Amino acid sequence: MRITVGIKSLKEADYFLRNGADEIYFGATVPNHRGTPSSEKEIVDTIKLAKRLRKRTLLALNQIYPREKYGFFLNQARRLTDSGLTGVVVRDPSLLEYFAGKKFRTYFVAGINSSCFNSQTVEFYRNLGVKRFTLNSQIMPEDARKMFAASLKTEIGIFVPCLFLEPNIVPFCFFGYPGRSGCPTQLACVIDYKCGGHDFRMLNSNLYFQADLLYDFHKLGVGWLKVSRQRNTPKLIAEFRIALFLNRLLEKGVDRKTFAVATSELIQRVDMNKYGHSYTFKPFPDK
Amino acid sequence: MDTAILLSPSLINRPGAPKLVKNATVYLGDEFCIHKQPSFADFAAVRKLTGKAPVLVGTLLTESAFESWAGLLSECVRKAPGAEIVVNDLGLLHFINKNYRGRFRITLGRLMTYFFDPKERRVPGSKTDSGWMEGGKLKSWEARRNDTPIGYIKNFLKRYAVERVETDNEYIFRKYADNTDVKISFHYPLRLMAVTRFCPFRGGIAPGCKAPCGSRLLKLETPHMDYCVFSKGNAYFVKNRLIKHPRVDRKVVTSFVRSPGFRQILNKYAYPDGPGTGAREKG
Repeated sequence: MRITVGIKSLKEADYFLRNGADEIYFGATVPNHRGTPSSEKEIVDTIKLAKRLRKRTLLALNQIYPREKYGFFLNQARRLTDSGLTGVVVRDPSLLEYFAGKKFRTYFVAGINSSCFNSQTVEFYRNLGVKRFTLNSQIMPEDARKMFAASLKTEIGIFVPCLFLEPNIVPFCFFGYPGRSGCPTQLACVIDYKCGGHDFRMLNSNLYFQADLLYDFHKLGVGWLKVSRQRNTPKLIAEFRIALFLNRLLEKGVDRKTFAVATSELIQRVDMNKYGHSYTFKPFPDK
Repeated sequence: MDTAILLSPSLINRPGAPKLVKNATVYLGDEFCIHKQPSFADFAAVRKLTGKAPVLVGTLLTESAFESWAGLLSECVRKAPGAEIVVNDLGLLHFINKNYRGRFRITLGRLMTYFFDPKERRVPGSKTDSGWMEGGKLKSWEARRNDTPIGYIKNFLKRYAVERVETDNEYIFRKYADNTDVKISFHYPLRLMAVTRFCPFRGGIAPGCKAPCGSRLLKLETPHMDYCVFSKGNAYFVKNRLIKHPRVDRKVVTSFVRSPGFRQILNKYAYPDGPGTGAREKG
């Protein structure tokens, strides 16, 4: 599998592209919830760097934007495409139709928020020009196999399941970030609840299950392994290294059981929680 | 105002079903679970029970669930043409438009209207959901992010011959009521907060299921929130108030039975306190 990483700066792009990433993606130069490069010039420099290294670049426009911003995004996407940008990540059919109406065609990638759970939704987005599909993390390998059975050459990407497997389906999770006075801010899916006298938590899956998912998606021929954008750079680097390591194990052809044990031991040993939350801003480490 | 009752196929033959659905339109199926999707036999059973055709309700469909729906539609188009279908999957809508345009009455379910407008995240009256806001103060256009332009929505409704839309959200209701002439249903007394395939009643993602959740409703409480969360099937909710407005011509009621003290089921796919908790953080 090839690895795609979300970045926030030229410095991060340089690090990931020289250390094994095949593709980087970044937001447009407007305030963005996961952080973006500071200027269009920085993005152009990032694209040039990637081109020099024969790597790919994607502009992430994978939210729903107000209509008056469409022109801005179209113009920026056009300028960046002229500079060598590979493609654009999208989720909004309205924006895709606008691009089609303005005769802007590029390599479109459907983001996780596109809610593609079956072949008909894939066809809907393909009719709008989408070439690659990022699977929702609650689609199982068997679902994906059936979904793409009629279009085996479709490019598919997944998030690394043991790093990013959401307890609830996006974009249909509307919990905010509860932080009542005296309680730390937490995501609703990690909070301990009480149901009558019993403990209750929103369910997740264990590491063996997550390792099996990754193994099965690799066997299925999924082409892209995605490491998500985040404000916390040390955590991003740690996730990238894990993705790289697990991918190498899979490429070597280890058996399913060995892979599951190795994944489980690695994730427990690394303890990703020590890096803090993904949305806590931490800059690129100097050392 | 028309009243509709959501009824899972597994509950049709329960003793309380006739009383529950008396004088109401039956919504047959489930908006959130692929294991509670209707068959034509279920459709016929409800028609026999109530004397009128139920509204068929779908969810976000995996490929296998979609294949079942394709079978149901091909049977319905012969035996129950004009049936109303609540569509919650973009692919199902695309399929119906391609193969059966004009043969069914199309309603956009609340997952579809949320798909276009997932912006409204605050629980009405709650003060706990503002604990973290990225990027500081939002610019005016950012505040309207996640709000599909109404021009596109109007074209979309026309293109897919949508007669009715559904929501449980006042913001989305206003958007459709003020800008379109489509019929509007409002869901009550539960407002959707999240959907998952990690089912608390089965303990994970179940390849097959006989719906042990039934119509049980779990009340979840935590000191982190100043409101209660409710777990029903594989979705989470908060309390919702019914909007009284001339444009709401149907209220859709979720029936439930309270189940205090439910002990959560954990199978091999679920391991909340063990390894893997790091992956939960991004939610």
